[in-house]
This record gives sequence, structure tokens and C-alpha cells, in this order.
Amino acid sequence: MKYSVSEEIFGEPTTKLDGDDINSAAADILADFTGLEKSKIEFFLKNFGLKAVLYNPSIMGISEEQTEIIEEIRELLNSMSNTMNI
Amino acid sequence: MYKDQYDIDLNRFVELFSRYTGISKSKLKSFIKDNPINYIFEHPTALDINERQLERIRKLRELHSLYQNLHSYEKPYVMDASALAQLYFTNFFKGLNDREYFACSFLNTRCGVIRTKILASGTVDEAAIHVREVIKEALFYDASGVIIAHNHPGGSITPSPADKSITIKLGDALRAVKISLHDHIIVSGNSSLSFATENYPLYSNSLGHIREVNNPYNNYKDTIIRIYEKEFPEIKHISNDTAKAILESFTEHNCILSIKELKSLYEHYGMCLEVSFDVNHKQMFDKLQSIVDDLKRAQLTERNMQASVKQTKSFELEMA
Repeated sequence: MKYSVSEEIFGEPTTKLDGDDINSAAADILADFTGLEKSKIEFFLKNFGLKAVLYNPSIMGISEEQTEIIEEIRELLNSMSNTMNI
Repeated sequence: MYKDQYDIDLNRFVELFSRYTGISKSKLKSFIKDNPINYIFEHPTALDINERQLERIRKLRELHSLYQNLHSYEKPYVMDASALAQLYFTNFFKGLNDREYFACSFLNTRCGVIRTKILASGTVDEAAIHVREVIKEALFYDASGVIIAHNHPGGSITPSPADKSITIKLGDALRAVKISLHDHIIVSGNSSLSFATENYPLYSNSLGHIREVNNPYNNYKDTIIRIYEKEFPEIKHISNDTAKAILESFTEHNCILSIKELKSLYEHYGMCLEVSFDVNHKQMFDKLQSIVDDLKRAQLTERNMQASVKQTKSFELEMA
């Protein structure tokens, strides 16, 4: 007999989204964490990509504190990759 | 040694995770002590946390997933037209309204952005901007072109005499080291002004804006072909005026529009005019109509060209 398994809410794959939706979702989250305007982040995500935004946040014209937050988020994401592989 | 490094990494992870989720470090540490670390993401409710903290973990998890998907996705932003530079700096200065900031974009030979840096803040005048600092950075990034920009928190985009004077000084100094000053952009809120478009001099001996040979900046048609070549290959047949009008529409709508979006905007303004007459809507409609008409012409030209190629080929086959 097969038991019914309730699916985890966490880890919902975001690959269902595409194009602008992905940028919008990422901008939403980054805006929440950094306090930057969503439309500003969205513009740079759309035109430069997430990697450039996380590794070269100065392209966005932001303060040192905001740059530091983005660098910390990048560090956290990298360590999340390591912990999830454990 | 390995253990030490693991502890350092773990402590840093706990510190950052605690900062961005609001969950106390002690709670995280004791959870990790008794459970595998990945349980934080797989079974976050086991942490006994509130809704907000749960939501933050969900967001981090989602961002991580996007980060994995989009990590390799990177494209250089090309500023080979004033409209694109205006669009870039309008977004760059968003949220920086507390004072004046002076920024420089260092570009490669194809006008792709290598780096943008804020080089001065406060009252941006000649005293605040050190020409040697701009040159030093431009040489450091091996830039072949530079676009300078600053914001006017006051609301006007009209350049002051000091703005004009510093532009010429920088333009001359950059030219001495064979780097082009393509433009000076002034931003105020959502409005912007381009020295190159408005024909303000960028160099001391220029009467208006003299184009250098092989300067890729503001070759409107080239820029438009680069942007739309995949979506609409027929774009190569449009006129230079249409290319310029499309680029202007980017600054008006504060985004790079696709051909589809241009067409739906044209329909939108047409529908607005049917409901009620508005001078601004009419202007926008007329502008978009001439763009759409030229796009249709470009499609026809391409079709005719393809038909004539086919005809020539079949004629050649018959002859053979």
C-alpha cells in the first residue's frame, strides 16, 4: 500500500516562472531584504542578470550599507548551497 | 584544522542567517546541534518560529533557487545610445535624492558597461570632481569610452555653467589619453538630459557635437538592430529617424520596449483617442504610428527581397 505524502511547501520550484517573472520574483525578495526600490532592482536584474547584481552591486548606484547587505546575502546564498549539499 | 574551518563557516552562516531571518543565534545553534543543518530549510517549522520568520526562510529558499537558476545568466548592458544611457542612469540614481552624486560609467569598445562608480558626492562642481581620478579609473578599467552622469535633486535637468565647464575639462583630459567621453547625463527624478543629444559640447574645440571616426555611440540604427535582431530581423530595413524615435520611446516609458510592446502601445493610444481626445495621447499615437508603419514597410521590403532571391535562384536552376 502506498501512503499519501503531503508535499513540502518549502522548495517549491521557481523554474515554473520564466523571463520577467523570474526577475520580478527575485527583485521582490531582494527589495525586501535590502530596502531598495523594487523597480530599481528589477531594471538591473533584467538588463544585467542576478549574478552581476550580486557580485557587482555598485552598478546599481547604491549606498555602502546597501552594498554590504547584498554582499552578505550573496555570502549567505553561497553557504546555503554548501549546507544543502551536506 | 578542517574542524576549525567548519566551525568558522558554521558560525558565519548562523550569524548571517540569524540577521536575515530574525531567528536567534542560540536557537539556530541548538537546532543544528541536534539536527542536520539542511533541516533548517527542509523542515523549518521544527525550529518553532513565528510566521514572519517562516516567510523569511521561504524567501531565502526561493532566492537561492533563483540564484541557482540564474547564476550563469549574465549579459553586459550596452550603452551605445543616449536613450540607453539615460535609462540606465535614471534607474541608477533612484533612491539617491539626498544630495548630488557624480558617477562615471567605464565602457569597452562596444560600449558595454565595465563598471560604474560614484566618484563624488555633495555639491558636484569642479572642485569636487578630480579629473585625474576619472582618468585613473578609466585607465584602470581599460575603458575606451566614458559616460559621466550626475543627479539634480532640485528638480531641474538644465545644465549649469559649472556642469558645462567640467564636461569640457573631462572631455579634453580623456581625449588626451585616447578615451572618448561619449556623453554627460543629468538626471532629476524620472527626467533626464543628454549632452550628446542636446548638442552641448563635450570637448573644448567642438562646435556642437563633432563625431569621431568609428565612434559607436549614437549610431541609432546600429543600436536598434542590435536590440531587435533576434525578435525582428527585418529591423535592418527601418530608417534612421524611426530608430531614433524608438530609442526616444524608451526614455519616455522608462524601459526597453519589445516590438510587441511598441505595437500594443500604439493600439492602446489609439483606443484612448477613440474614447476621448488628449493632446499628449495624440502626440504619442502619431509617433508610434510612424514607427509601426515603418516596421510594416521593413517587413514588406524583407519579403520582396526574399521573393526576388527565390526568383533568381529558380531562374538559375532553369537555365542550368
